Formats: sequence, C-alpha cells, structure tokens
Amino acid sequence: MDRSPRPAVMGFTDELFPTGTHMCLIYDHEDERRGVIGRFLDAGLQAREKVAYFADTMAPVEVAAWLRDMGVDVPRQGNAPGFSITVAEKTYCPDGRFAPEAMLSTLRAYHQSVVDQGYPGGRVSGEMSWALRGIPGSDRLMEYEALVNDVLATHPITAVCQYDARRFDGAAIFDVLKVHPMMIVHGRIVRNPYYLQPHEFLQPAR
Amino acid sequence: MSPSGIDADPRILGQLLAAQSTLSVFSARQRMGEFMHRAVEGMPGVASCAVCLPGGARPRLGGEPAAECAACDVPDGDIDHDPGHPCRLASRANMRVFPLRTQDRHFGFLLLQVEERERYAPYEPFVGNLANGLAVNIERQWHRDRLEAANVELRRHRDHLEELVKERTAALQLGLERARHLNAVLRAIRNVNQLITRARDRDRLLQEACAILAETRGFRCVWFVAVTPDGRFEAAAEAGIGAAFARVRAQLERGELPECCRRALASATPVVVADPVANCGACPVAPQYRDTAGLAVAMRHLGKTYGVLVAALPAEMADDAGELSLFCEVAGDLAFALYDIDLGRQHQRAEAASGRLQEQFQQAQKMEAVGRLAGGVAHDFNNLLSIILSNCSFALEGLGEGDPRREEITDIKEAGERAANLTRQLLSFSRRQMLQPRVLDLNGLITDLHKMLPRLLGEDIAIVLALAPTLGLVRADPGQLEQVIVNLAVNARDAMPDGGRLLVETADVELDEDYVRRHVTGAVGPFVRLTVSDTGCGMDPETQAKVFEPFFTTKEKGKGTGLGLSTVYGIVKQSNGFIWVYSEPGRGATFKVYLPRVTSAEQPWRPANGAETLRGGDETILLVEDDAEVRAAATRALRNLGYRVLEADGLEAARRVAASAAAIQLLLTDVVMPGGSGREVGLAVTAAHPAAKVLYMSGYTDNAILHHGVLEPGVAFVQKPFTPDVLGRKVREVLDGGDPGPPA
Ligand SMILES: Nc1ncnc2c1ncn2[C@@H]1O[C@H](COP(=O)(O)OP(=O)(O)O)[C@@H](O)[C@H]1O
Ligand SMILES: [Mg+2]
Repeated sequence: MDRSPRPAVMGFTDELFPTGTHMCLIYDHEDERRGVIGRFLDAGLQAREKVAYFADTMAPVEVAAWLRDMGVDVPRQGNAPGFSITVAEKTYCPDGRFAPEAMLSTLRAYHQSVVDQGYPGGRVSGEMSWALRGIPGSDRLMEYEALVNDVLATHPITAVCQYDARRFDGAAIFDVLKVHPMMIVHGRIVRNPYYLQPHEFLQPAR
Repeated sequence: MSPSGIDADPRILGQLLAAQSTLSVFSARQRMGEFMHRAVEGMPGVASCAVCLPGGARPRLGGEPAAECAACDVPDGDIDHDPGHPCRLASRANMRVFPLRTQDRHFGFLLLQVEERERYAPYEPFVGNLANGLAVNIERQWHRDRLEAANVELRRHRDHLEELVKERTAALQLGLERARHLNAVLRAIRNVNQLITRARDRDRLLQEACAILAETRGFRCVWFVAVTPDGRFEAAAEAGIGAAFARVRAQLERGELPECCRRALASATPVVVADPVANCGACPVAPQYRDTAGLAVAMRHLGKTYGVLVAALPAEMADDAGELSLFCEVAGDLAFALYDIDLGRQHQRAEAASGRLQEQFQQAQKMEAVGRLAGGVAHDFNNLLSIILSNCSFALEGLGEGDPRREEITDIKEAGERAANLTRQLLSFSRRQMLQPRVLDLNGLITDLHKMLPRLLGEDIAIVLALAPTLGLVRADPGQLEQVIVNLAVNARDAMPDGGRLLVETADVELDEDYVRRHVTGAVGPFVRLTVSDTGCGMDPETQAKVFEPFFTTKEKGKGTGLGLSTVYGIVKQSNGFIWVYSEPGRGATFKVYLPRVTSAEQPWRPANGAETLRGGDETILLVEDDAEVRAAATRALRNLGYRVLEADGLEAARRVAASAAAIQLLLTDVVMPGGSGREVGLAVTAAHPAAKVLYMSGYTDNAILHHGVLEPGVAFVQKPFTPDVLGRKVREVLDGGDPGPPA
C-alpha cells in the first residue's frame, strides 16, 4: 500500500505488467499449462519474489519434480521460506467449504508477509479444478474472482488462476472470462478491459 | 439498423470480442457450443438462443425442442447441405439464423430468438463475427480429427508391416538353422565316409565310427555289435558308455544279444525304443539313459548281415525323419565297409587296377549317400523359401517408393533368393530336382550359350568350339544342361587367372565292353560326348578325387561354394549320363560328359523368347496345396493377376470344390500331400471338368506320376520355390497351351 506497484516480469511474455495483475490461464493441453506456469514461477523466483503455488491435479512433490525437470530452481524439499507448494483444496477451503471472504483474507495476509519479510514482490498461481468437486460454497467461485480484482488493487500480488477448458464447461469458461481483466490463451494475452466489477457481477445481467 | 456503437454496452462488446479471441482454446465441439451459448444468451433484446451442432442435442428455444428440427440432419462439414433452406427454423418470426460455415465446410447454426429488435440490433455484427470464429474453430478441429484418424491408420499399417518383417525374419532364421543342421549332418557323413575309405581294419573302423557319431551327432552313446552270418557275436565297440559297457560285452560273449539288437536283426527297418529305462529291462546299460530314445538298425549289404548299430539319442531327435535316415545310411555304409574289408581279406587286393576301381566305386557310393541326405533337407527349404519370397514381393508392393523399409525387405528377399539358389544346387546334386527333359540338339544349345560365354569368361580367355558336324540327339533338361556347361566354364576361368583357352567339343561315341570294364559307371551303347577342357592350373590326384563332393572347394572363402561340380554331377547322373575328369597339375583339366543318345521322331526343342511381359487372365483356377502359407502366397499372386482362385487343402476339399464350381480352367496342385496325391487330385478334378488343364508344383517328388523324378512329357510342372512372377508365367503358358494334359 505504501509502495507503488512495480512492474512484474511474467516469464511467458516479454511484456511487463504491474505487480498485482490478475490473469487467468485457459488451456486444454497439459504441456501448454506447464510451459506458461513454469516460466511464470521461474521469473518470480529469479526476481527473488515470494512465490506460492496451489496444486490440485498433482501432489506438491510432483509439481516440484516437473518444475525441476523444466530447469526451475526449486528447493529440494519443495517448500522453503520464499517458495511454497500447497494443496489447493486446503488453501481455498480450509474448513471443507469455500468462503470467498476467508480466501480474500488469506491473500491479504500473504501480501502482508511479502511486505514484512522484505520481498520485492509476491506472486501466486492456483489450479482451480478443486471447484468442480461440489465442495460447499464452490458455486461462489466467480464472485470470489470478481472480488480478487479489488483486493489486488490494494494488496498487489501477481496472480494467475488456471482453468482447464476440457473440464470446466464452456459456460463456466465464459463466466471466467467476464471477471478477469486478462486471459492467457495459447500463451497470448487476451484483454477484457470492461470486465465486470463485483457489484455488477452479483446482479444478474439483463 | 442503428449506426454501430450507439446504444451498445461496451462491457458486452468487450466480452464478445474477448470471447472471439478465446474460442481457439477449445478442442471439443461441445465445449465451444456451451461457451457460445453463454456468450449470446443474455444479450439485450434476445429472448432465447440455441447452438445447433451435428451430433448435439436439438435446439431448444424457450424451453421446448423445436418440432421443425426433428427431420433435419445437421451437416457435419458438408458444404452442400440443403443450400436452399439453410435451417427449418429460419422462417419463424423474429428468428436470426447464423450458419456456422467457412468457405469449405458447414457445421450447423447459431439461432437467436430476438424479442426487442432495437436493443439487439447494435450487437448483431459482433454476434456474426463470433459465429464465423466458431465455424473456423470447428473446421480446424474437424481437420485435426481427420488427421489424427489418418495417423492412427498409418501407425496401424506401419505396425502391421513391422510385424510382417519380424515374421519373415524369423522364418528366414529358421531356414538358416536348418541349413546349419544340414551342414552338421553332411560333415558327419563325410567323416564316416572318409573313415570308411581309409579303414582296412574292422575293429578300428567300428571304434572310430562310434567316436565320430557320438561326437558330431549329439548321440548320448553309440555302439556296434558285429555278428557272423549265422548270428554269432564277433566284435563290439562303443563310444559314450565307458566302463559300464564291460557288462554288455560279457553278455555278448555269453552269446546273449540285447533285445534291441535281436529285434533289429529280425527287422528290415530301424527299431526305435521310446524309453530305454522302462523298455530295455534286461540291458545292463539302459538305466543310464533317461530322456533318450534308443535306435537300433541292422548293418546289411547285398543281402548279408554284418551286425547291429545301436545309439541313444535325445528323445526329441528320434522323431526327426532326417536323423533316422542318416542313421540307416551310416549303418548301410558301414556294412559296405565291413563287406569291403571281408573282400579285402579274401582277395588280398589282387591287383592295383582293381584297387582304383574300388575307390571309384566307393566314391560313387559316397556321393549317393550324401546326395540322398542333402535332397531330403533341401526339399523342406523349398516350401519355406516360397513363402519368404512371395511375401517379400507382397510386402514390397505395399510399400511406397521412398520407404526406408524397402531396403530391409529387399535384403531379406535377396538373401532368400541366394538361399533358393543354394537349395536348387543341392537338389540338383541330390538328383531330386524335377527335370523337364526334352529331346534336344546339344550343338544348338552350345551355339546359343556361346553368345554369353565371353561376358562370363572375360577377354583374356579364348573360346574355341569344336562341334561335330552331325550329332545325335539327347534327352535332358535344357536349363540344367546349360548349367552344366556354365559351371564347367566358370571353373575353367577360375583355373586360368592369366588367360588361356577354353575348348568345348561334341562328338558321337560308341562305348564298348572294354570301356565299361575300365570304369565303374558307364554302359555299352551310343552316347553323345561333351568335352570341356582348359589350359589352366590343373589338379593333383587328391583334388580330383574330391571335386564332385558338395562343399569341396580349394578357393578362398567367398570365392567358391564347392557346389558347382556337385551340381554338374547331379544333373548328369539324373540325365542317365556320367562324367569323368582328367587332369595333371600345371597341364589343364578336361571334363568329359557322356549323355545317352536317343532316337526320336520328336521335333528337337528350341529356346523360347524369354523377355515376354507377364500376362494375367480371368480364368478360374483351383489351387490345391496342404501348406496354408504356400497356398495363401500362391492365391494372392494369382488374384493379383486377375484370376479367380478357388482353394482346397487336399483331395477331399478339391473334390467338393470341383463338384460345386461352374467351370475350372486350370488345376494347380501340389504333388505330395497327406490326404491324397496330386495325381489323384488331377484325376478327380479332370473327371468333373474335362477341359481343365493341370499344372503340378513341387519341391521334388518320388511319386509314381513322375518317373524317376523326371516328368513325363505333356505334364506341366512348376518348381518350388517360385516367385509370383514365375508362377504367373507358368500358369499363363499352361492356360494358353494346346492339350489339357490330364495325368497319364
Ligand atoms: N577346370 C578346373 N581346373 C582346376 N581345378 C578345378 C577345375 N574345376 C574344378 N576345380 C577344382 O574343383 C573344386 C570344386 O569345384 P566346384 O565344385 O565348382 O566348386 P568351386 O568352384 O566353388 O570351388 C575347385 O575349388 C577347384 O579346386
Ligand atoms: Mg565352381
């Protein structure tokens, strides 16, 4: 808050974006996903940012292994002070249900730790497929995504949410598109400058 | 229509544009449809919408499936789909229909039920763009699916080919193993035969023969019992038993013959004892021979019995017909040697001349033995090689020009052809190859062949022909006779590396009593003599004694096979002729071939024009062959040429097929089959179809239809192994030929 957002290196594109940018990755190939996310995390580690990853389709150790295979300098154990891989479901739904406010607090706290521990920035990426398992509250995911834009404006950390276009249905993907200012499609940035604000999203469009 | 931009919500426009850029992420049509539906459903002025895609659910507009859709097949990439009426719902009021089509393909429709025209109008162009984007994306996926399917098909094809190559390689491997086995057999016989020609002492002969057989044949033990003509024990020798044999010997000396020996002496054929441990109760050594089979055969020569040869061999070898015949042959050879030793004792080798005669005789015997064995094994090769060669041809047809596997298969094919060549040579040596003898003029044949000799011999060798102005006719296979001359000429060339002169002479001769007395083989009467002589390095007597043996060569590895002269020998013998060699070191060599002169009213044979193109036909051919693979290969070759092929695996099936077939123009049948001979098949089929021609195929045969392995005139025959090309030519030739040729 007391710092003005500094530009973040994304890794998968040469373009610079302000810290606090909220993107979603829509993919339907695992290789494509790994290419984008691996470079995104690598760029964060190289900039000595605090980096967190929320894994859902693989165990954290497997994520650490593929990152290492890609040449990302991941600590042996997977977790270290500046880098963590956690299970997405435990992070988003710590009590067995999804509550947008709780997760937004987690994000604010994460930002606070970035500032307190003196990192030049922070970045996170999460696989969102946990939301397909009918966990209570997961129907509020889009509301949460809309609210994230507000939180990141005041607590700038760079975030990439991952949506698998084979598993989420087409309508859900369109909803994702509506609330993200930027999407990564085949490694390219698709902009949606008039993305919905939380209050707009919450009242059904007509 | 309102001017663009006015009244339009930038959020919605932004979403439509972003959606268009996002579409390409989907590979599943269903996902694209859902995405599209969500993008347009809430648009201002739109009451309901539907995305109609092939294979998807029927459009629901306002909750109800549209009745008009029931009879509509949504096109899947079909650009010509119902061009007049793009969609049956188009006529509904306030219906907007966007065909999902690209320049080349049509995939369905996007349908919007518009409620408030004014509100909706500004978005229409963007919806149209999005619909186009969707069509392009579906088309891309459509192509990708087809490509993937083609790839799968291609992969399947390739796997199949690889499988084929593997199979063929394995078959070839099997062939090589049999060749190795054959080699070992030949070596054993040669060793025994060399021993026989050397041995002058009975006990040493028996002892060494035991050792050779145990060593080279993998027998667990071998023993001989020599008996007097009235059946009394005379001598014994063994290998592989050792001290335990003393007990057998003691028994023998008491005058008790083991049961296997008694049975062998009473039998004309070898005795096989399946499990010696169980079945040779009284024999003191039998318990040592678990998992073996016992073999016993009497040693007889010219009706006189000299003893018994006994062996224990691994049980699985006892079923091998080749092994059994080898065993009998060795027993026969040894009986001959014992006879010879007896003879030697009686006459003390009265004169030196008769000694030489003796050696000639032994040589002839030896050749006989080796030949019979070689022929037996070579025959088996022929079937295998037919399969390998035809399948190689098919595999090659199936591969594109630039395919890297062509080379591998061509290698297999070439190796197969070399093997076929080798087999042919072995067969002709063993005199089991089918000859197609014709009455012919040897001078004519030589004159034709003369044209190609310079190319074969090189320019440093002068070729001189001295042909008798009038020469009698002979009966022989022209191709084989050419082979004889070529083999002799090639050897002459090899003997004259620095050049020289090759002389080919012909003459009519009468052989008299005196000539026949001085030579082991030969007969009184009129002959045509072919003489091939050179001015080369010549041979010493030791070499001369062996030149006709198969695999005997003095040439370095890769240069000589040792099969050239053995082939010559086989061909000449089978043509009822004989051959002699005269040579001295440094003074050249002369080979004299005598062929019986024939008097015949037949028109002498003339060579046909070789380079005709292969023609097929649409006749119906009944193919009878018991080997399924050979049959499949032949069927395929004939079908490729356009023939209708009916298949049968033996006499019974052939009868059935012949009874129900409307017409059969040609019967192509194997000669030797388990269920009935080719001759019987021929009789049965020509009884039902008198106009059918008959073509026989075989590696060799001793069957009655073929007199001494020589075809009767008028019977058509094709030699296995054959390539599809050879078979095709022969079939055409027979179909086009004059008389039907039912078996005599
Ligand atoms: N015209 C000849 N002059 C000298 N030696 C010969 C002649 N023909 C054959 N030979 C000898 O006989 C051997 C066997 O001949 P052949 O059976 O044709 O086998 P290869 O030619 O492959 O050695 C030759 O290796 C050679 O030693
Ligand atoms: Mg030769």
